[in-house]
Amino acid sequence: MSAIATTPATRQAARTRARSVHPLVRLDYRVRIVATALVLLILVTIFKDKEATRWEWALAIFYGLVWPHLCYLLALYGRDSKAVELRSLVFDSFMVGVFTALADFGPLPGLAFVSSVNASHLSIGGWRLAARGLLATAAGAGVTVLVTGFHPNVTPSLLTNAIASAAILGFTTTYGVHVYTQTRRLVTVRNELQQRSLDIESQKKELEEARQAAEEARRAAEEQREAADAANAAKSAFLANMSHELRTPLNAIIGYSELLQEEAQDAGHDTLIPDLQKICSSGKHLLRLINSVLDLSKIEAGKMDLFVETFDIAELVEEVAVTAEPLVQKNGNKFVLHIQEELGTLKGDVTKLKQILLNLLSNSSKFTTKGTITLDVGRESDMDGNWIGFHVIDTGVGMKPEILAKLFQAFTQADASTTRKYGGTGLGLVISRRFAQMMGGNITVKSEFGKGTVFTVRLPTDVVNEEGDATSIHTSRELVAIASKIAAQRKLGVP
Amino acid sequence: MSLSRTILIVEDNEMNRDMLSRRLQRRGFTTLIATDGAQGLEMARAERPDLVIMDMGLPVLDGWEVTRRLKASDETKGIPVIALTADALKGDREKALTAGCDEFATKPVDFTRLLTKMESLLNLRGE
Repeated sequence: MSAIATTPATRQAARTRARSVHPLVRLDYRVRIVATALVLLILVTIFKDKEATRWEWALAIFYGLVWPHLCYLLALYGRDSKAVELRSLVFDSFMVGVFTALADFGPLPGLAFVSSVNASHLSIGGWRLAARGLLATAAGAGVTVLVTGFHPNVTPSLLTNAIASAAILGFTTTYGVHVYTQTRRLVTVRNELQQRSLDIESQKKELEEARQAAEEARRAAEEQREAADAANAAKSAFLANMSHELRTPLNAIIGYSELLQEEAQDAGHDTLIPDLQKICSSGKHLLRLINSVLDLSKIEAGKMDLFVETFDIAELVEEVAVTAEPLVQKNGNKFVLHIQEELGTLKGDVTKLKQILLNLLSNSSKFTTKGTITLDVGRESDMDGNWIGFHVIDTGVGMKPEILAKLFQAFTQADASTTRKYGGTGLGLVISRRFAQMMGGNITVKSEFGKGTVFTVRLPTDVVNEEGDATSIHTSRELVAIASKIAAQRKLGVP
Repeated sequence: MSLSRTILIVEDNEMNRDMLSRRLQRRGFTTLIATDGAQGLEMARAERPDLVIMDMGLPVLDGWEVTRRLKASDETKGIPVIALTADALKGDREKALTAGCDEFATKPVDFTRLLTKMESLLNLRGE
């Protein structure tokens, strides 16, 4: 009936079985079957010589054959199997006392009986439980003496002594082996635990190192970001300065060349006027170029802001038409304006839209001679939503497909001679398209070589509405983000 | 039409000042010159020009502040002010109009357009 400490692992396994008992109970069950059988065997050798009563036989047989199983069942169906087992052990001790008395206090049988339970008590509950067991044994012996009388026989038969000696040897050997294996197991477990704690230590160290490395990387990234921000700020400041520094002398060049033209005219120096005009127009060209490069830099740096307001579309288009008319008619072109009725309003950046339309009209005018330039504006809708379409249609020189392909790239004009012949910075279309994209739209082009070109600007009628709140004020960066998201979604949908 | 009108030019850049003043004189305007904000404010109060063309990036007192002070005083608030700024940023335009400027032009000055703006302001005032 041993129950020396079991490992946490076996206890865990026991708990997971269907109707579980304390591992102590299962261990004691097996020990008890053997031990009580031995007790019965010793009693049989004594009882057959002294003509025991039927009750004595019944008690011995009950204890030897029934009690172990009853014990197990009691524990199995008890609420606390360990508590039941401890009570059973006290009963075992009591019965051992009874049988010691019934065996007439033979020393070897008595020793065998007591040692069958004593070691169990010691291994489970230490001195306290062992003392309680011995008390119970004494009580059992006392009660039996009171009932049957005291007639000791200190010389039991040889057979009895032999079996009792074997039983004592068996019990002590079993406990000895058990203690040995448990000790071995404890040592193994302790070693494993030590190893595990060493592993945990080293893992902890590795984790700490990884954490430090991550922190280091984060700090490095932060520093790089700060450096990049600083570089970007420096670039922006440089551009802003450049803008001012370049414009100031240009101001003088353009202004004085205009002034000289007027004065030359008054003084009758007409031969000087064409040259002065060249200085003036070159100055203006340089100014446009600077403005375009600055615009493009701002767009690239994400610093180009949208100023979104609601405006009347027809009003804007008429305004643009008035500005563009002299330009369009320069090459003997006819200017046609088609505005759909009741166009209503649009939410967007008026200045940028004007810049886009003037750029497209001026482009078309440059490449069309004695033809027609049409500005056609109307509402359009497709599966992507509602749009306002601005079409600039010309009957000019048109473009070959290979030129169309690189039309919206910076500093690309149809060919180098175009710049000489037609002027322009080569940046107008790039900037126009980026502006349209910032507003959630796009610019597309169709052209046939020798026949003409159609530029189409499409802007969503509800740029801001798309985010759910028509009145909310977005920062320009948010708007750009929204706009580019919308543009990305629509990229494929735009013809 | 614009004969004998007096224009006060407040501009610190010598070439811009000279150019603008000569071109305006050619068209029959009388021009007054101030080279910084404080001087501009003083001259506007003393001479009561018909119109002020004011650079916004001035030393001593900047154009915004001068305009604010001109428009805050009953004596000078009737004088139209055209703001000149170096950058065509929309922000500057809003800022100029908020400060009380009546019109806005960016440098380099498109002289023809500036004249149109001046004439419309002068006519408004004259009527």
